[in-house]
Amino acid sequence: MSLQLAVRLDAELYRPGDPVTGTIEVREGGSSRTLEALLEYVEETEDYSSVATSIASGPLHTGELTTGMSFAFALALPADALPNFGGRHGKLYWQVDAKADKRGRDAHERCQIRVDSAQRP
Amino acid sequence: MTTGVSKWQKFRRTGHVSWQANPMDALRRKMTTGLDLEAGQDEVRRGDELQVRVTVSRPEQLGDVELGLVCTELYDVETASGGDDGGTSRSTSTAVAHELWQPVPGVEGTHGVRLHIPSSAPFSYEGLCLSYRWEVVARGRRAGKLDARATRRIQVIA
Repeated sequence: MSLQLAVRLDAELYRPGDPVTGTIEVREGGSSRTLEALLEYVEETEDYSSVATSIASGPLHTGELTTGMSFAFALALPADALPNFGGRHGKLYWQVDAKADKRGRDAHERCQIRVDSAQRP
Repeated sequence: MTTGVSKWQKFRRTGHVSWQANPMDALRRKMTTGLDLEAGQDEVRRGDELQVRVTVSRPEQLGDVELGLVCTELYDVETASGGDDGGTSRSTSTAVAHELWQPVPGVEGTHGVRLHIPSSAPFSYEGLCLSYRWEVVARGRRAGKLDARATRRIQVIA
C-alpha cells in the first residue's frame, strides 16, 4: 500500500502573524526518509501553479511511518502575510503541505487554509 | 536614396521595439497633451479612498472626460503551438478584474476626485503565473476617434 497522510488543523481562520497548528496523521503507513510540514503561499491559474512563499517546520519524524502515527506541527504565518484571494482566472491561497520525502515520488497531503487580511485598527 | 526603417516597421518585423510596446499607446500619449492626472498617494489599502487630481488643459480636444480605477489580472495559460506535434507554449493573458469609471467635468482646470477601492477587490500582486496590477486612468472619450488617455500605476495593499 502507498503512504497516505491526513492533515488536521486546529483553527479554520487565520490572520497574518497567527500560528498555524495541527496534526499530521498517517492513514496508511509506508517507507519514508523525512516527514515535515510546509506552510505555502500558492498562486494558481487554470494551467499553472507556483509556490511564492514556503515556510518549513523542519523534520517532524525520520524513518518509516506506520499507520496510526500522528505528529503535531506549528508554523507561523508571516506578520506581513498576504491574504487569500480568488479571481476569475486565478487564485492566491495559503496551504499546509504534509510532505514525506521518500524514494521515488514524495507523498503529499495538502490542505488549504483561510487567511484574511490583518484586522484594521 | 536609402529607405529608412520606421519604428513601426521595425515593430512589425521584430515583434518589439525597445521604446514602445504598442504604437497605439504612443499615439494616445501624443493626444493626451490636454489631460493629466496625479494620485495623492502611491499606495492605498483596500477599503480606503484614493484622492486623484485630474487636470484638463485643452477641453476642446478631449470630448467627454472620465476617470477610472482599473485592475488588470494577468494569468498564464497553456496554448497550442499550432504545429502537428501537438506542442504547447506558455503565454500570459489579461482580463479586467475590476473597473469603475466616473465622469469628470470637461472644463479647463484641476478637478479633485475621490476613488474608492472595494475591500473585496484584488490587491496588487506580481507573481510568476498570476499578477494583479492597478492603475488610475483618465480618458477623453471621443466618438469615432482614439481616446486620449493618461495613466498612473498605484499599489493596492491588502
